[in-house]
Amino acid sequence: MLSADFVIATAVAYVGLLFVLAYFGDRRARSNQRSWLHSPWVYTLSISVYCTSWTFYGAVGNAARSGLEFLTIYLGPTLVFVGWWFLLRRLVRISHQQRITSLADLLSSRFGKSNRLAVLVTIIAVIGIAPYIALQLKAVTSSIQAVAGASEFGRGSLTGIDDVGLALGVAAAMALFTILFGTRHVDAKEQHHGVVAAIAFEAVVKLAALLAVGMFVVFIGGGFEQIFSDAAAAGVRVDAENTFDVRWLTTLTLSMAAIVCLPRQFQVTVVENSDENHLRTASWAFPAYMLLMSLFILPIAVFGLAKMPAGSNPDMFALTIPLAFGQETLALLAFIGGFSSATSMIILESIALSIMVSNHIIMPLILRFGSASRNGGGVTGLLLFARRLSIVLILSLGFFYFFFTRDSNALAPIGLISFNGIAQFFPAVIAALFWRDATRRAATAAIATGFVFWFWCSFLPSFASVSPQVVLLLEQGPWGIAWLRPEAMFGLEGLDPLAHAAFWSLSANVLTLVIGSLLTSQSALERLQASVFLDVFRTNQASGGNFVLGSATANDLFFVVERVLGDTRAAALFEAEARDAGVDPDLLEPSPEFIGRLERELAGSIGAASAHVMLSKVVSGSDVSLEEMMQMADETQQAIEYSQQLEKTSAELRSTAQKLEEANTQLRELDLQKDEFLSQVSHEVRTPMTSIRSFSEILLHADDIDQQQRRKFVSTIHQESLRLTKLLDEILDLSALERGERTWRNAPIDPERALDRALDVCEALLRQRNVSVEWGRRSGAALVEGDPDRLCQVFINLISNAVKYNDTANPVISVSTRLRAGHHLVDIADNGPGIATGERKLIFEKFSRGAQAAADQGGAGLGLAISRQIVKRMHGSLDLVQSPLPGACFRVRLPVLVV
Amino acid sequence: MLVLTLLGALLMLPPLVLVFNQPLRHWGLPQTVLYLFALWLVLIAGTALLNRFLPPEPAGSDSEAD
Amino acid sequence: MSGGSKGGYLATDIVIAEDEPSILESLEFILRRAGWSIHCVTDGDAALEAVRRLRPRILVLDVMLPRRSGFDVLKHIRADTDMRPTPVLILTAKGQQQDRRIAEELGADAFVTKPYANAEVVGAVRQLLGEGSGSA
Repeated sequence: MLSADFVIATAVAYVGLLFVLAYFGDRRARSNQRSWLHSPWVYTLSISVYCTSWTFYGAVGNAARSGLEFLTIYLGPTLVFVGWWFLLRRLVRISHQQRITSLADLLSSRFGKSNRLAVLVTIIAVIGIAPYIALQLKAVTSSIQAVAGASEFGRGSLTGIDDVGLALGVAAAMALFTILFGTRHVDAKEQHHGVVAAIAFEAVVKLAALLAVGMFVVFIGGGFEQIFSDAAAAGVRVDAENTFDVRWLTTLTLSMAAIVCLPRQFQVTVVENSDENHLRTASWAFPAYMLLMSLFILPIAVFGLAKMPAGSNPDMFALTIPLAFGQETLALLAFIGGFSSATSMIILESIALSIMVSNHIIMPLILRFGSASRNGGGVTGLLLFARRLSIVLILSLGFFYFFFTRDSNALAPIGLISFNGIAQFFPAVIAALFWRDATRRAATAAIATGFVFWFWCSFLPSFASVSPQVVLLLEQGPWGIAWLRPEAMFGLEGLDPLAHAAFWSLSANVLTLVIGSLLTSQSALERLQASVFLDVFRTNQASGGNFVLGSATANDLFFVVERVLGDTRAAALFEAEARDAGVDPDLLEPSPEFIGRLERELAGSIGAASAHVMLSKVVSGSDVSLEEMMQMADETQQAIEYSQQLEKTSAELRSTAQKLEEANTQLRELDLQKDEFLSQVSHEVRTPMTSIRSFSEILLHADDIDQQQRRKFVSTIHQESLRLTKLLDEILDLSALERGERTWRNAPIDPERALDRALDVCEALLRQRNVSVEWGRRSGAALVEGDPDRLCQVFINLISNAVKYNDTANPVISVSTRLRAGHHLVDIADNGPGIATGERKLIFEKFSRGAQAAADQGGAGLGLAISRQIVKRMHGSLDLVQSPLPGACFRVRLPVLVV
Repeated sequence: MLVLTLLGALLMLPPLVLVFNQPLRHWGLPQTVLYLFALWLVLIAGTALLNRFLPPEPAGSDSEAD
Repeated sequence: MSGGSKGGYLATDIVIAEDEPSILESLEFILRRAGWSIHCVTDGDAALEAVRRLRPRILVLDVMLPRRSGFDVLKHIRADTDMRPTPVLILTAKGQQQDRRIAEELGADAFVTKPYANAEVVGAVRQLLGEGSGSA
């Protein structure tokens, strides 16, 4: 036989196992981002924290009492997940962008970062969840009692301890466990990978346990058909005519709201989500999980109703049926399963609520009255303390609710009270996501109104069993005012109490929200946040610059951020920013974007409203100008976004047009150059052509020319045709050089040798003109990169120019070379007429010849242009320099290779 | 997806759900129970199927890196 | 057109201003053969000087001249009361419409594009001198 001590020991051991799992899950998640903990399956399993002991025990009881109604609790969430693309995806995206940490944070952030709204939501959540926590305590207590009560000696150390004492023990243990579990550190995103891992594990345990019990029941019951036949024979009907009445609709609606608004569901579905794509899997896998959970609930219920002794608590069928059939191992498994579902709910719910309480109530109080940012202790420690306190508070509330309502029997109705309370957030959440004009004041009033109705119609009546005053109130109304009776408001009688409460509270809620939003107007910040929320899929950029720079220095900001995030993280943030800005961290000028980012980081730890208040304090004097700025900038937030896009596009167009214009100008210039070039080519070609034609005509028509003259004319024709050929060669050469088409091979060469070769080639010319060459000093062997033949060509061109344009009596050319500053220099000077100052630039142009150059030089004026191109291709330069002689001096300058 | 969601909601609410709420049994099980579970299965399968046609979220949609 | 006196003792019929030696040589040859007396210059300044001094019956003027361009020479001649009546035959190697237009605006009397047929030049000179196409 199972003893209570053994069962409790098993439970404690199980919790220990969970703790180990959470610990290693945390370490694993930290060390390895890609671990299995980040898989969509773990995510899906963690969402199934929705299935609590309400499902495990309560659903069976509910099925036994109300037939199919229990299904609505799972069909509602199924609908929400099937339509994940519209609601959940949006919720997750927004929360990631805005670093939302809780439902209160979400609503406060959307409605102008209003902390008052966050406080209201938090308080309502804490009160609304109390029955739900109580439900878990009751289930665990009952399950222990059920096991222990099965035998006389089984009570063991429980002897003399009643339900309340047991529940207190469970609550205390749970509080301790949650504190150990969930508040070991503060995470920027409020993600608890270890806890999630443990929750996922529990999801598997409770599913396995329920399936095992279910299969056992089906087995001993002789199959589905037999069970239902036996039940029918025993007078149990599941398909009652009145199943699908107002209650059906009510519970379906409430469960839809709950899967979104329950603090723990928001935590696992939205906050703990690490990848939006996980929703894709969860959208069908979570409904599938719920389907599996529900599969055997009905058989267990009807089997229990038919076979268990009358008066047995149907909520405990999952546990008592195996016990009744002597299956202790199965009963223990069932107990662990139920325990699992209770613990996972309590842990996550109180973590989620504690985040809300500490971020929205405790932190703002400290910020306002204390001077946390001034005293020595960091905020981190304070935050953790606040969370632990909140957990204790939340579990205490749950326990007290249990204490006061301990005599009511069924589990499911208690849960539905919570659902109804939490559902008051649903209209505001929907409005936050889809209605641009919803205002903060309307949302606040709507939630408050709904809460008042819920409190009056649903919460208060649940104390009827312990309080005669409440019973009196229910029967007669306050001060005898009949139309204010909690379960028959405004004379609406005969309705199911749950449907009644849900109808009034939600109607009043929605009505207040709609009318209020139409009557009140939004503040600047609200409008901005509204666009951020509604346009979440349009703009990929979260709005960054909510701050106008006041006198905030990086130091002030660091001081604040360090208090919350700790030294390491703060330093990392500031260093990263400094790195991006390319400045020294000490000289960092905080930009509005950076402050916006800091705000989001802080929001991850202390909530949006607190973060905003905290930074507003630092960015002093900014609040007024911020509001003003918003007013202007925010009037048509969307219009601005579009116009920014337009501006960007038109800026792109402008720059493209400008580029085109530049290209066009360039082309036109090139075209002009080409025209000029062609005209010059034409001129240069026509000149020798003229002589050739003229002389050939003379020779053709005049027979009376003597032989000598004839020979002279023919020789002129020959010379001119040679000149023409050379000209064409040069033009082709130059254009090839300019386009860089010619295969050009630079190799290490000695420029001195090229110079010697050039002088050799020119020797005949020099002798013919009686030019003497004066050697200056020489550099000695050197290495430059170039083409030896081309370099030689350059020198020949310079030397022949010096010869050709020199009309003095005693023409002299002076050649000298040297090495200077990593360059090899060759100077070729002459004592000719020199080049007039005005022409110094022109002479390197195509077809230009010095004014002194008489026409008999026979060049087309391309030589220097070609030479300059060649030297350029060798990475050197060809210039006119101060001459040691009266005439011109050209200098070839080539970089020396460092060998 | 919207159609599936709305259809699911319509089919599990009165009056449509009442069409199937008759004291009939198939394979020994009440017709209503079979109907609701079948509808549930269809919704699950439909969602899993539809998800294949929806564009995946851009990588790194998980807000800023930290 | 009021021609100068033909056949004066030292009178020069034609001044040729051309910087390309071979072209100058050919021009001198063909015009001399046609029976005129010739004076050759190779730059713009010399051309002006020659016209002022020699009072030729006609100036054959290349456009691209060193020191002073052909157009500049033409402009000076037309601006000078003494030299103004001198007929001017423009020679150009560029041969573009623009050159022809400038030449006409500046008051050139004829325009010949290089490369030319010898007969073309002789004919143009003859026409400017008001002589029939008799002697070859």
